Amino acid sequence: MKKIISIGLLLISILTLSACSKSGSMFSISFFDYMDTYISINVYAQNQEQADEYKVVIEDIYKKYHELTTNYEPLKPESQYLENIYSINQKNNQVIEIDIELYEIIQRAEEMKVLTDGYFDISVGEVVNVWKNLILDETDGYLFEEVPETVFQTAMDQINLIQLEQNVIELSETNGKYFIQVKSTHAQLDLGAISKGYATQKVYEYLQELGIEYYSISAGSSSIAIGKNMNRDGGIFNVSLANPIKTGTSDRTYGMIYVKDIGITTSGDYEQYAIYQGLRYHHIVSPKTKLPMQYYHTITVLGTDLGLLDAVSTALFSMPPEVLDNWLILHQEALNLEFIQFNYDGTILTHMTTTVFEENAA
Amino acid sequence: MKANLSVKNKRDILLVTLLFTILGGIYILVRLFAFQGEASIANVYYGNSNEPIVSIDFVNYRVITNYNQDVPSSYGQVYPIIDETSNTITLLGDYELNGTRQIVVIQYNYGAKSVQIIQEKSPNNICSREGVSTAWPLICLPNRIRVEFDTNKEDFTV
Repeated sequence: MKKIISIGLLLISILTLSACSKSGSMFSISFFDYMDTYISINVYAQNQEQADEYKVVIEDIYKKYHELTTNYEPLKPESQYLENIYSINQKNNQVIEIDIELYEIIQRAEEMKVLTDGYFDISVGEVVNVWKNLILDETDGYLFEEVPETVFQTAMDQINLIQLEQNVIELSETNGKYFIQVKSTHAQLDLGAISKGYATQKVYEYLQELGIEYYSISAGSSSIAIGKNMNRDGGIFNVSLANPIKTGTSDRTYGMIYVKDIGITTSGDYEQYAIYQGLRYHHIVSPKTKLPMQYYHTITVLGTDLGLLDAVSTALFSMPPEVLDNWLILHQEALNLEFIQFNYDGTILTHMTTTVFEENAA
Repeated sequence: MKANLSVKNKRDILLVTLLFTILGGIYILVRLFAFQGEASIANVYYGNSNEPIVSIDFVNYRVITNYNQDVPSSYGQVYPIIDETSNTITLLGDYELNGTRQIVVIQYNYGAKSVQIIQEKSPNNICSREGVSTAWPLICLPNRIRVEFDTNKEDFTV
């Protein structure tokens, strides 16, 4: 009788244990409508209702920063916000009251400008627009195609006419109200190189605050934040690195990193570019030269602050190799960052501290 | 009485061993299937749904329609359209030209376990320019259609 009871207890405990491990599971959340990209989140939750609660908060975050930082369209009349980047760009030289969220992201972008010695600068929107039009214009763009000489020269003429001014953004706070003044008659702000990372960082912080261990956030593949992987021993995610000079399906990645609890951002020239005289002209424009530079095909940065990673990978992309090396000497350790650079000549350089990088492992 | 007990004991041990062997076997099988390197299925998704609208089974050479798209009757057609002769799946995307939603045509290849977007209308045609994929997700914006492989070798690409 005792034996039967003990076997019964054993069975119950096994069933209970297996039930425990299955009490929650991973839920997928995805958005198509924000930051011009496909955002995909996998998060551990007890049930669908809880996952839906997370979804509401996460969608609010992406929607908020999309509305505030877009430079393509004005705020909707029913919007709860005062201004967005589009409307600020229509009001040069005026002192405009803005919401604290927009104030803070612009303030963060200005900090990134200082940190990167001006290689990250949100006030070069005019220049970015010329290059983006050359590549992506719906009727006249040359995405992945050779740009005719005359068209390229016209773009260069436009670029040469643009006089970039230093320190045009003035932020101020009075009695709990926040203001911006763009001190220029023509400068245009473009937060495209920080808004996605910054918003993803807010989502990352939200999931961390909830104490959720298992999650992954992929914002358009260039910006990802991950916790632990529920489906693999040690919680590791295998993250492959996109080969910017792939020629077919067999060489679409050039390496793999094995990571958990980390943020990763890649800036690259391979998703959107036009070709002129054998070189790629992409959308990451150097504030120093007003041109897309051709030192690297991709710069991948690993760290824990997605907003910073987004800005830093953008800045490093425009730095000549010797400037980049000096920057790393000064900042890599203090900011606890890791880097992988895919150089224009096809060579790969890594600056890793703890993460394992395997070339051609995919 | 004592002999009886020992027989019972042996039975108990046998029972428990059997139980653990079965559980262990199930665990190993689950792990084996969860860690297969090559994609055996590609799933096609439409919109925000996490349920694939179509699944391409590369192992059993078949295409499974899980549900139909909710399309206004004015389009006079049920989507997805599966064409087993040309190996294509046609869905109605969200991108509109002159108020008409445009189709996205996905071609699959069982032998190569690959998928390619062969026709779509969008501002930059990025997803059809991606070419043939055997693992890389193909994401069509603003058509809101994506194809993802169930390969477990990598979780993300940056």
